[in-house]
Amino acid sequence: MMPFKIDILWTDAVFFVLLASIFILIFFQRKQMKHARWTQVFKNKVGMSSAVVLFFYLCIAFLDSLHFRPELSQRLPNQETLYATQVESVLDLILSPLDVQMETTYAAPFATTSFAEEPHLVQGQVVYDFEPLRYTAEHIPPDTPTLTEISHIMRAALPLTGLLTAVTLVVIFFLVTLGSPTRIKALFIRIIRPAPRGVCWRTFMITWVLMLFLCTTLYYLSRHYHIFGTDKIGQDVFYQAVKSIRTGVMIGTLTTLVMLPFALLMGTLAGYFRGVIDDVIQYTYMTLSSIPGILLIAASVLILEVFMNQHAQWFASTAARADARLFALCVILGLTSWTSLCRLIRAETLKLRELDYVLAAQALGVRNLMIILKHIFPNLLHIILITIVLDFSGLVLAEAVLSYIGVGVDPSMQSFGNMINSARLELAREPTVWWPLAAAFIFMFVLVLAANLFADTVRDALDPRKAG
Amino acid sequence: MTEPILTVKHLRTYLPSAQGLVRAVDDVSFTIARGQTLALVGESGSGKTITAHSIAQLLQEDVCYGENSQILLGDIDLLRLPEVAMRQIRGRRIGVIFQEPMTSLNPVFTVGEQIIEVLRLHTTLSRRARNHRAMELLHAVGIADVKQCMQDYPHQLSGGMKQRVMIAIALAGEPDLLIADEPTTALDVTIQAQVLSVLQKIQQELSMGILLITHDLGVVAQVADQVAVMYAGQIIEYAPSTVFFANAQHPYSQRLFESLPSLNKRNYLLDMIPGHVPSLIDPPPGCRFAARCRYAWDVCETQLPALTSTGAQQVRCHLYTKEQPLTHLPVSEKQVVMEKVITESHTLLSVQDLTVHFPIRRGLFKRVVGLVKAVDGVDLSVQAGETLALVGESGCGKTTVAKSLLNLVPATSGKVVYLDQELTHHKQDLRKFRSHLQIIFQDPFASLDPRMSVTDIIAEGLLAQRLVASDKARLEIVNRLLQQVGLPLGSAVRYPHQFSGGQRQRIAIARALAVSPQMIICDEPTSALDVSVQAQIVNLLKNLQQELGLAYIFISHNIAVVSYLADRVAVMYLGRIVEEGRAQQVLATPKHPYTQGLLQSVPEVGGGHKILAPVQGELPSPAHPPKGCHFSPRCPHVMPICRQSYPPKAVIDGQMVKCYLYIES
Repeated sequence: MMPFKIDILWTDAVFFVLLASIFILIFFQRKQMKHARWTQVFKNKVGMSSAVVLFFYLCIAFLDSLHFRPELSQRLPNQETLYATQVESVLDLILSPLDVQMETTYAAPFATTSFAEEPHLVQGQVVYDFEPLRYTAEHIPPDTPTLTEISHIMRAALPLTGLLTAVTLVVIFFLVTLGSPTRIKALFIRIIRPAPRGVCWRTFMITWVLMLFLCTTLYYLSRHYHIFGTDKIGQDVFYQAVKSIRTGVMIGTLTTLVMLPFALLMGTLAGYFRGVIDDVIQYTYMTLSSIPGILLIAASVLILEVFMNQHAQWFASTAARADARLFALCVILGLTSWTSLCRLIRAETLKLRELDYVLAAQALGVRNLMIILKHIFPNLLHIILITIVLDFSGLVLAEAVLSYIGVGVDPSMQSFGNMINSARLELAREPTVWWPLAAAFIFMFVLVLAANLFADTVRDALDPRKAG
Repeated sequence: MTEPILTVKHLRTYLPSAQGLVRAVDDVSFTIARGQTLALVGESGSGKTITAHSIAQLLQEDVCYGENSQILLGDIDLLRLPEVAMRQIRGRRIGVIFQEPMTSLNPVFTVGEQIIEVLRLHTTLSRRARNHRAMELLHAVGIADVKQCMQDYPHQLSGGMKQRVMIAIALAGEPDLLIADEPTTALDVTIQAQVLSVLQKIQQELSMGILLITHDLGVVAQVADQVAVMYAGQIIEYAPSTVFFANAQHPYSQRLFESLPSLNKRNYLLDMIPGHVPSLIDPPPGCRFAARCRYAWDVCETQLPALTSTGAQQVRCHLYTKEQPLTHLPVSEKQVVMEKVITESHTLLSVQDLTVHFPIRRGLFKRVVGLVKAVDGVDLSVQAGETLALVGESGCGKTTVAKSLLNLVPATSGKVVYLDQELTHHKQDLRKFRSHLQIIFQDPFASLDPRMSVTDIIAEGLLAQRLVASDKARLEIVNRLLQQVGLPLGSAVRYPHQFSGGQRQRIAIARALAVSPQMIICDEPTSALDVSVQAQIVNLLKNLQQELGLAYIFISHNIAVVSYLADRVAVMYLGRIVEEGRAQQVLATPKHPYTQGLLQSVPEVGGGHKILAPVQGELPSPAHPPKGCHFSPRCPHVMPICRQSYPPKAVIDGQMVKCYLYIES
């Protein structure tokens, strides 16, 4: 009997399916991939390093999606195992005890004492004083200068970095070369002396090692300090930010997944066939887009909330409930935001269908479906990609706005939106508490920047005119 | 000779690029005198536009000029002038006209505002005087309704009108020098003739110098006093126009003339210049034409010939540098004589009373408020193995005819019968007839999907028609086709953007041939190509017809190509065919006044400065065709009856013509 029970939430399931299908696609297409144009992405330094950064984000989101409920030590008299009602993820396990180790209130990054003076009773008198923090006090010897201690910890992280680097690189290189000694040799030559048009293995190595170093150092530091301080109720901000990654990635990917088929199907149908089909689709999205988006989302979320309250028994835990809400939010966002992409795709299809090569295909007797698949879709790809990535960052931001008016993700769920939302008051107080906003900003900034840069190189790679 | 207004000395213009420095212009010298026209001739990429842009200083800032390069306008060296001073010269002393009239005018200002703006910048006239001057200018460029034109926005004008407005704007500052960069390339021959005569008239009035950039030797013959032929960034021949056309000396110039199609070359293959223009990043040390020259010997490979005077002209060729008896030259290989034999002659395609009307819809409920009668009752028939040319101005409906024959545009009424099978109204059966009728488009850059490899492009029809079962057989066919259209075998895995315009057109031809059609509709297949590339494609089409017995419907406005290729010619005007007959007959003795005007508008290489008798006016809108004969408003022989009813068919010497001149009342 395992000491835990695996709990697959709604978003987890969809996310896993998405990852699995990408994996399967790569596995079965690996022969053709060598010549596929999108592999050009990895021949571009920016593309390679942004891909590595995105991969780390995805890994964190993945680890945070492996949910389970630990076994409780108490047992019922009939010997049945009991599991906790609190759902945890593998990421929580790695980061623990960050999630439970609470301070009383705000603490600045790397502080050893509380941020504000707190009242004490000293010999019957109330004295205001800086309290030592519970968490750091446990791990840090008193009276050591912070910088010295940080450098100690960073040095202590180095062996783990080295180990992880060695293990992961061996695994990756084995997968790439499939263990063939000649290929391994060729690979190493390319790392030392990169070919002008080859895959940027050196860039990959550098970024990979840097990211691993960053992760292990942050992990080691988080064992001793609150890296990004604590929030009002004393919870570690670094932990919150890391947990928010999953919410951001989920909203970004799942919403696009919901939106894309609508936009693509409707857009190409309207643009290619025109006539009545075009009229119907145009009127649909015109009506939909004339309703203020926020209003539509707010109404849908509120209806959903009432519905979920009425069927509280459907959700085994608060996490399941929060997750169902996240999933529903993705669907709602997707259903309300396909119109702009649809309009773009329709316009582009209208242009493409008049081009000579589409006419030539018609003259050759190619069926409409094949024309759409072979001529229209591939030439729409760049628009779709750009829109997806721009939307990705937009969606992460939309989540913040929605949380602000109280219709976003569940308040119990860590998200960049919730973090930014609470930072509103913290920025207004004196002295200013800046670190929750800073943490949310840094994590979001890196994610959105990497996604933007990645999309940029993907677009260039897919453009055959630039391939040369 | 009068004093020169523009002297270009040793101009070198190098443009930086990712691959290295492109030597776009390499030691070019010429002069233009007042009242004189210098034509800069060359194929695309020869550096003629860069030369013009160097003179007007319109290039990017990172361009490099040679150390001893000079561009003297009067006695000012434009290369050493700061941008602020240059702004005073551009527009005031140098006027520029570009090729594309559609994009040279700002769409949000009226024509009047745009001319007045230039006048405001470059003259000291008062507001009222500016307005008056703008009207004068428009009148000078031959615009009839000047007041209306001042109020019009660019989109309300036709292409020819826009180019006239562009000339008016260029003339606003009364420049000494007018740079005209392919001013008539985007226009129809009739409009081209009108614009050229306007340019000539104004030049005489103002005694400007004109630098005319063109690839059309006919236009050069018509208007130029001096000719400079450019090849790979250098002037290779520089001569007075009459001398040049009488006796071109550089082998490249000679071969350009030989590659021009014409009526009397019908039975020969056109001369083709093999190879391609050398890279301008790393040009060969010797003569740049050596690799393609039929006379080249060892000196040509190593030593760059200088421009040498041979009497009235200057030539950059080793043939003329020393006493080289021309008799020693290798004789050019004999051209293949081709007698066209049409063995079987059954009717392949016949079109009866074909009409294509496009409804004009307005308002909320998209009511039909009018009809654009793009094709309005066309009868045609094509025999197996013959070439029917469809000639006419743009907007006359010839492309719409082509598309409706293939059902790419649905026909409104009429019949298209292919081998006894009605095509227009049997959509389901149509698919299997698709392989019999194919089409080649005008723009080789738009007709190939940029995301498909050449193999996929060519095999598209094979897949759609399910002609070949296995991948292997399909690849074999693709390779055979590539060979047939003269492309290297390695082309199969490459993508369209890696090919030049002519090569792309070959791919398009291979795609059409893949389904083994009996008939190919060629929609201006050579009009986007250079003269020498045009010769290659025309030859290819002619060879394929011989080998495979194809029938062509050849749509073109290029009379020279038509006279070379066509067996029969049909002339279209505003949706209807006004004259039809055997090619030699129609082109030699045109009956319809429109055909006569059209043929006279074509500038001829051998013609010298002939007096142009162009068709007046412009093509009316097919939404509101004139009453009676459509051509009556422009016709020099118009009679009262022409304005009342459309003339019926008349047949004279086997030539069908629709004109009241030939109907005895």
